[in-house]
Amino acid sequence: MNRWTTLLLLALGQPALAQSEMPAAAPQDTPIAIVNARIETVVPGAAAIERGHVVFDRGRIVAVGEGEPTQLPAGCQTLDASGLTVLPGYMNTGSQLGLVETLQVPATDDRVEFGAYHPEIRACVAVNPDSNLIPVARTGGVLNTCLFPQGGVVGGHASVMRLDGWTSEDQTVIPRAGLVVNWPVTQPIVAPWMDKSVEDQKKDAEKQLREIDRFFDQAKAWVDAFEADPKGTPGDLRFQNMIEAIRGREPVVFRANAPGSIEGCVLWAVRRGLKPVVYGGLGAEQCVPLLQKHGVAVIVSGVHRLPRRSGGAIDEVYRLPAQLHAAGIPFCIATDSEPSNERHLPDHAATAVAYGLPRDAALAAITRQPALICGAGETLGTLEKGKSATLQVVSGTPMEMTAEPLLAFIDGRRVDLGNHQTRLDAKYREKYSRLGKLPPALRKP
Amino acid sequence: MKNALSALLLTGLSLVCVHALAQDPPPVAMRAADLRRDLIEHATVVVKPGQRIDDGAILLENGWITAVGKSGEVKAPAGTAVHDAKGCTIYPGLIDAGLVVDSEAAAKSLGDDASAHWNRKVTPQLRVADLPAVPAGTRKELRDMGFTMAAVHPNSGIFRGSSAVLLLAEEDRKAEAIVPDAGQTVAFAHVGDYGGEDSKYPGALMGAIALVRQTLLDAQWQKACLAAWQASPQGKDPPQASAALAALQPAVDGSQMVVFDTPNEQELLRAARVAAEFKLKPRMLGSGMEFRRLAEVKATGAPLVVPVEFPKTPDVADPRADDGVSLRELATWALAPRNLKQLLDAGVDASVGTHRLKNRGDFPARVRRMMREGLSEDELLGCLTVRPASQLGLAAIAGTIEPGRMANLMVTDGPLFEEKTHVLRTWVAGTPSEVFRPVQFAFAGPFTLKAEGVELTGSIDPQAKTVNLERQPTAPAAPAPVPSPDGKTEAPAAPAKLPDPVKYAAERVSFDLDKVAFTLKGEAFGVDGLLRCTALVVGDEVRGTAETGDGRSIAFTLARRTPAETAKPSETAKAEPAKTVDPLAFVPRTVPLGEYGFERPPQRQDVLVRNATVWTCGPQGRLQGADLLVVDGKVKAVGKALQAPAGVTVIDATGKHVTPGLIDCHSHTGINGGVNEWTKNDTAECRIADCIDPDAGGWYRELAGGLTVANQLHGSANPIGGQNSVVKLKWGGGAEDFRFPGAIGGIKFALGENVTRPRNRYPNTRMGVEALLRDSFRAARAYAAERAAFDALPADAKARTTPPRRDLQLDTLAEILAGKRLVHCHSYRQDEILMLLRLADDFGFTVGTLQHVLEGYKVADEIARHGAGASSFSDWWAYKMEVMDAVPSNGSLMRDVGVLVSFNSDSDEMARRMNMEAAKAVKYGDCPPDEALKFVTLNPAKQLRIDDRVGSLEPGKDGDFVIWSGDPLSSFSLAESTWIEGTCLFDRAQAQAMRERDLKARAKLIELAVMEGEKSGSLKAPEPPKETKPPEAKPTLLSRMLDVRRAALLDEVARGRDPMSIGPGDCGCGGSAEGWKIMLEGSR
Repeated sequence: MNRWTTLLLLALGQPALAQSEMPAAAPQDTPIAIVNARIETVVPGAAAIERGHVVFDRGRIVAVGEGEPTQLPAGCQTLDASGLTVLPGYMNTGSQLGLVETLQVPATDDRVEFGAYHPEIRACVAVNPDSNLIPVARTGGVLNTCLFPQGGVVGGHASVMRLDGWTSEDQTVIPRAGLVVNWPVTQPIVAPWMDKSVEDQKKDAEKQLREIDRFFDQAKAWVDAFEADPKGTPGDLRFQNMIEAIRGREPVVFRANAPGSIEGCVLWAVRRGLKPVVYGGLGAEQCVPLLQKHGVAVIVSGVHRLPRRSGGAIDEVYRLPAQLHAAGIPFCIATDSEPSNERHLPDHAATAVAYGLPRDAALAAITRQPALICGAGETLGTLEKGKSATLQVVSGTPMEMTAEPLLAFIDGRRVDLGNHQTRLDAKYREKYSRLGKLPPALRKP
Repeated sequence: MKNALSALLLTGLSLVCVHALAQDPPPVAMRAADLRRDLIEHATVVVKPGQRIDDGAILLENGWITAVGKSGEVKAPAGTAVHDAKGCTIYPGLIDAGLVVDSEAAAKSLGDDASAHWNRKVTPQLRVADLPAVPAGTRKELRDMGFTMAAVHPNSGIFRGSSAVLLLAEEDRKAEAIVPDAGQTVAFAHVGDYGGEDSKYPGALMGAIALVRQTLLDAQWQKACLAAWQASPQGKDPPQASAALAALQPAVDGSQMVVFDTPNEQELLRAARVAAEFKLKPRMLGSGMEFRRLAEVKATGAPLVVPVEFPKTPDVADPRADDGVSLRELATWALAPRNLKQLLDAGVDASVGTHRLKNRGDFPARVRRMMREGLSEDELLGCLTVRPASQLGLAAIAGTIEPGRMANLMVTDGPLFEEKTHVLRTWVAGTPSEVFRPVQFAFAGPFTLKAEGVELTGSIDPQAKTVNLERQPTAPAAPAPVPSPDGKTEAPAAPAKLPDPVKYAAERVSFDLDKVAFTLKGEAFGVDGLLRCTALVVGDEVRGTAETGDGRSIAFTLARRTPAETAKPSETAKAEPAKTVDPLAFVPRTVPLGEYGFERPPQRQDVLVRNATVWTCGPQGRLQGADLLVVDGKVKAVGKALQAPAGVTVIDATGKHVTPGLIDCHSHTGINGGVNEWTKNDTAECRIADCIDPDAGGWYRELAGGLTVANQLHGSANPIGGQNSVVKLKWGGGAEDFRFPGAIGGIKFALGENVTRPRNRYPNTRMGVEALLRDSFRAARAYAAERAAFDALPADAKARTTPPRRDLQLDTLAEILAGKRLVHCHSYRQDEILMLLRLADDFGFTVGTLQHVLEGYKVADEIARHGAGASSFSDWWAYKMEVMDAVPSNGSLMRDVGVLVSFNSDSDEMARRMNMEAAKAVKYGDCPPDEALKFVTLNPAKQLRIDDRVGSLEPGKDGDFVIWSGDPLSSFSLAESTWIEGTCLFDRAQAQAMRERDLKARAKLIELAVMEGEKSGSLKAPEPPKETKPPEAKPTLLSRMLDVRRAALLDEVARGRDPMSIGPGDCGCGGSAEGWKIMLEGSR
C-alpha cells in the first residue's frame, strides 16, 4: 500500500503542509478528476462502476460515471486511480469525537452535562477541532460524524460534523440533527451488583417514565403557547430548543437496547407525534413489525458487541444488521462508545457482511444510511452530481481490514491522513534507523 | 448429658442410663423414681428403608431402643407405659445433616482475642458446641417435621469453626451436643467483590481459596514448630500461640471431617480439589445444583448433604420480561427437583439437610416435590436417617429402629411426607413430644339438620374446621314455617321461580374429640340474635343444642345425607397413573447444561482435511491446495495429496483456509468469583486456575471465532497480581480438562495508573511500584535461601530447628527468581517498561511477556535485548493518560526491531475475532500476512512456552486447527469449524442445530413456567437472602456511592451490556470503597 500512496502523492503533490491535522484549503481551489477508478456510488439500486470517474469542483461533485469524463473543468487536476476504489466518506453516528480526549481524565471530558434534562445543549458547541482523536478516525476513512451528547435522559442535540476545519464552526454541518433521549432501562435487573429489589426497580422505571412524560407535556404546552403568542409567552431555553422535535421535524433519537425498551420508546414517540429513531438497537430484530409499521430507522451502534444476555445466540449482534436488512428496516451501522476507535466503523460493517449482510447494504450502512438518518442525505452519503465531494480513495476491497484510505476529500478539499500516531511511528522508526536496528526497507518516509 | 453420651460413643456401650447427671440440682423434696420405659404397640414400624413390621412394637428404655418386634411378642417389664399406636406409622427419627446457625457475633468476638488469626474470617476455634443451644423454636420447628437430631454448622467467615451433632430435644439442657466436634466448617467466602464496609482480603474467590491453602499450611507448620521447640527448646522462643491454628490440627491430621459449604457445583469441585491436596476428609454441604456436573461430583467421592431448596419459578409471563432467562437457568429450574434422585442413582453418598431453605417449614413440600419427580419413600427415608447417621459416624446409635439405637422416633398417621400425613409425635432420646393431635370427630360430609320447625342442609369438615348450612328455598311468600311433625320433606315449590339458597357459615368452630361447638346467625333457625351450638356424635348422627339469645334451647340433629357431591378431587398428584412419559424428556441434558451444551461428549477423530490453503505458521509456511492429517489428536503431516489412512474422516476443504487454533495471550473469560484480588498490593498466592469456569458461554463464542488456547490472567489492580492459568477451550469438559497440562506457570504483574490509584496504600507512584517490586523480590530471595538452608540440614538438626514457614506468596516470587514462573506484566509507558526490564536484569530473570505494552515501540530495542515477549492490543488507545501515545503499528514496529510479538484481546468480545486483530498488523504495520497470523498463533505459544505443543501445524504438535471460509485475515471470513486435539468442538452447522434445539426447549420450559405461574422471584441459585437495611433518611457517603455506582452500571446495561457480565471494577471505580471515594471526589 505504500506503493499506492507514493503513486498518488506523486500525482497530486503533498497536501498544504507536511504536518498532520492541518486543515485543508477552503474552499476547494482546484477542480479534481479521479479517473480509471472503481467507483462505489452507493446510490440505491446502482451497481458499482468498475472503471469510471468522479469529477468535483468547489466542493461539489460535478460528474460521476463510467469510463472517461466527457469534459473537465478548466484547470482540472487529473488523478489516475487505477486499481483503487472511490467511495463516499464513512459517517459514524453517535460519535463522541472532539467532545472527549482522554476518557479517564475528567477535565478532558465534555460528554455529559449535569442533570437529567438538557434539550438546550448542542454537541457541536463543545468540539475541540484540534483533538488528536479526530485525525485518527479520519485516517480510517471516517469523514463525517453525527456527534451525540452523552448522559442524562434528554441528553441534548446531536450535530452532524465534517472532520476538517479550523474551528468547531467550520466543522459543523447540522447543529441540531436530532434530540437524543436516553430511554430508561425498564426491565428490572437481577444481578449481583444490583442492590435494588425488582419491585423498587419497577417503581424507579415508572417514575422515570412519568417524569419524561411530564417533561414532554410541559414542552408541548410551551410550544403550543409560544406558537400562538410568541411575544406573550415567557422564554424557556429548554423548550425553545424542542420546537422542531415536538413538531416532528427533528428526529428524536432514543437510545434503546432491549426489545421492551425499543417498543416502549417507539410507541411513546408515535403517540406524541414525534419522529423516533432507535439508537443502540439490540433486540430490534424482535420488534420488526412495529418498526416496519412506523418506518422507524435503527442505528446499530456497535456490531462488535456480545449477546445482550448470556443465553443469546453466539452471533446475535453480528447478525442483527442482516436481519434488519432482510426485514426492510432502514438502519445504519455505528461504532460503540469508544471515541478513540471510531476508525473501526468499516470493521463493524465487515463483520455484518461475514454474517449475511450484502456488501452493498453494508457499505450503505456506513455512508448513505447514516446521512439519511441524520438529515444530511441531501449533501452526503453517496457519490452523485451536486452532492458534497466528501469521498475517499481506497486500496483493496472497501471495508476489508487491510483496505486503506489513501486519499480523502472533504467538500472537495484534500485532507491529510496523517495523525499523532503516524508521527510517533515515523519518529521511532527514525530512532531505530539511527541505531541501525531497522532494515532500510522498513524505514518509512 | 454431653459427657455421658460422648463417653458412650467412645466406649461403644450399647445401653447406658443417662439420667441422674451430676449437673442435676439436689432434690428439694422426695427423690423421684424416673421410670423411663415405654412400649409402643400396634404400629407399622419402619425399621429402616425397605424393612417394615406390620402391627409392630417398640420397647424404649432409658432413652434407648431395647426391643423391636411384632406386637405381643415384645415383652415389657412391669411398670412400662404402654402406648397403643394403632393406625400409626413409626419411622426412625429424622436427622438433619445440614442445619446452619448464625455464628457471626461469636466469630466476631473471637477475632478480638490475642491468639486469633490475623484474618477475621479465619475462626476455626469457634465451636458450635460452645454456642448457646439452637433456639427452642428452631428445634420445635424441626421436631414437628419429624427431625430428632441435627448436624449444626456455623455460618460466618471462611474457616467457620467446628460443627456439632445435637439432639433436637424439647428441653434446652437435653439439646446439647452429642458429638461436639463433628467437622470443621469451611467456605470460600469472599464478600468484598462488590465493595462495602468489610471489603478486605479476600475480595475474590481465588483469594479465599489461597487463604484456605495458606492457613492449612500454617496449621501444619505450627505443629512442626512445636515439635522442634519441644525437641530442643534451648535458646528459642516458643512458637507463637494461635488458638485458630491449634483448632485446625484435627482437621489437618485427618481425624476430623472438614465440611465445605459449597454454593454451587463448581465450588464443590474446587473444595474437593483442596481437600485432596491436603488429604482432608471432606463432607460437602451441597447446593442442589450438583446434577449439572453429576459425573464430576460423583468422582470426588465426597459425602454430600443435599439441600431441598429449588430455584423459584421464573416470572416469564411477559415475553419482554423473559429476556434475561437463559435455557441454562430454565433447565436448572426444571431439573433441580430431580437433583437428589440423580445423585442417588449415580451412587453418590448423599443425605438431605435443611441448609439453604429460605423457610424451613417448606421442607415437607419440597421433598414431596422431589418424590413427584421420582424419588421413592425409601430413598428419601434413607437420606434422612441411615445415610446422615453414617456420614456423621453415628450409624451404630442412630438412623434405624433397632435395639441399641437411640430412642429417636417419628410417629405419623400416614406415609412419610405425604400431603395428608401428619407427624403426630416425635421421640427424642426416649422423651416424647406431642406434635399434632388429630381431630377424631367421626362425622363428616353432607348432612340434613333438623330442629323444631327447621330443616337445613349443610356439610361439615372436621379437618378444615368448617360447618356450612343452607336453607333450600321454599315456595315464594311462604308463611312462618309450619311444623311438620311427620318429618316429611316439603314438596318442592315451583322450580322455575326458586331463588338462590340462603347460606349460613358457622363461626367460632372448634372440635374436641367427639364434640363440636360453633356459633350461627339466629336467622338460620328463624330467631333473632346469635345461636351458640354444641353437639356430640352419637352413633350415626350428631345431636346438639342451640342456645338462643333469649335463653331458649333448641335441640337439633344432624343426619347424614346421601353424598350427592363427590369428594373434592385431591390436589396431590401422587396417585397419578404410572408415568410412562417423562414430561421433561425434551430438556436437553447437556454438558454444560444450557445453551450450546453437548448432549454427548464430542469424540476425537482421525481427520484428513483435503485441498485447503494451509497456513502452517511453521517452517512449511503457507501451502496452497494442501492436506492436513491429524491422527490420535496430533498433527501427522501437512502436504500435498497425503495418503488417507483407513478409517480417517476426510473433509473436503477446497477453497477454504486452515490455520492453527488461535491463541489469546490475555483473557479474562471464564474466571469465577472475581478477576482481581484487589485488596492487597501483592497477591502472588492467588491462582486463577482455582477458579476456572468451564460453563462460561464465552468459551463457546470464542471457539466460534477459532480460538483454542487462552492465557487467563488476573486483573491489573495491584503490582503483583495472581497466578495465571493457561487453558485449552475444551467446551463440554470440566475445569480440570481446560487446564493446559505442562504449561509453565505465570503470574500477572501490573504497573502504572491502575496500581497507583488506591490512595490509602503503597504504592501511589511509579517510583513506589519499583520499590515494592524490589522489596518483594529481595524478600523472596532471602526466603528461598532460608528454605534451601533448612532443606540442606541433616535429619537430626532438622528435627531440632524451627522450620521456615511456607509462604505461598514468597514461594511464587521465588519461582520467578528460579526461572520456573513467567511474569506477564501489564505495562504502558516506556519508563515503566524499562524499569521492569532493569529490575528483572538485576534479579536475574527474564520477563515472560509485557502485556499491552503500548509504548513498547519506543523501547523495542531494550525489550528485544532483554528477551521479553510483547503481547499488545492491536490499536486501543486514549482511554486513559498513559495510553495517549499508543500507535497501531506498535506490534509490527516491535517485531521489526526483533521483539517476539503477539496480539491479545483482554476482552470476551474481541477474543471472538483474533484473526481480525492479526490483520491489523498488516494494515498498520506492513507486516507480511503469514507473520501477522503468527501474532495470534505461534508467537503467543512461544511467549507462553507451549510452542512445543501448539501454535503451528507441524508434525507431532497438537491437532488444534481451524477451517475458515476464506482467507483468515479477511474481515469477511468465518471460522467454519474449530478442532482441539482432533476433536471438533465447534462447527457452524452444528451450532445452528444446537441453537434451534435450545430455542425449542427454552420455549417449552417458559410455557411450563408460565403454567406453574408460581409468583415472582429470581431464578438464581438459592443464596442466603441479602440483608435489607432500613431506608436511610439522609444519604450517607456509602448510599451516595451506591447510587453513583448503580447509575453507572445501569448506563452500561442501557448501552446493551449483559447485566450478568458486569463484575467488580466495571463501574470504573475499581470496585472498592476507596475507588468510590475517589470517584465522588473527582465528580465534585
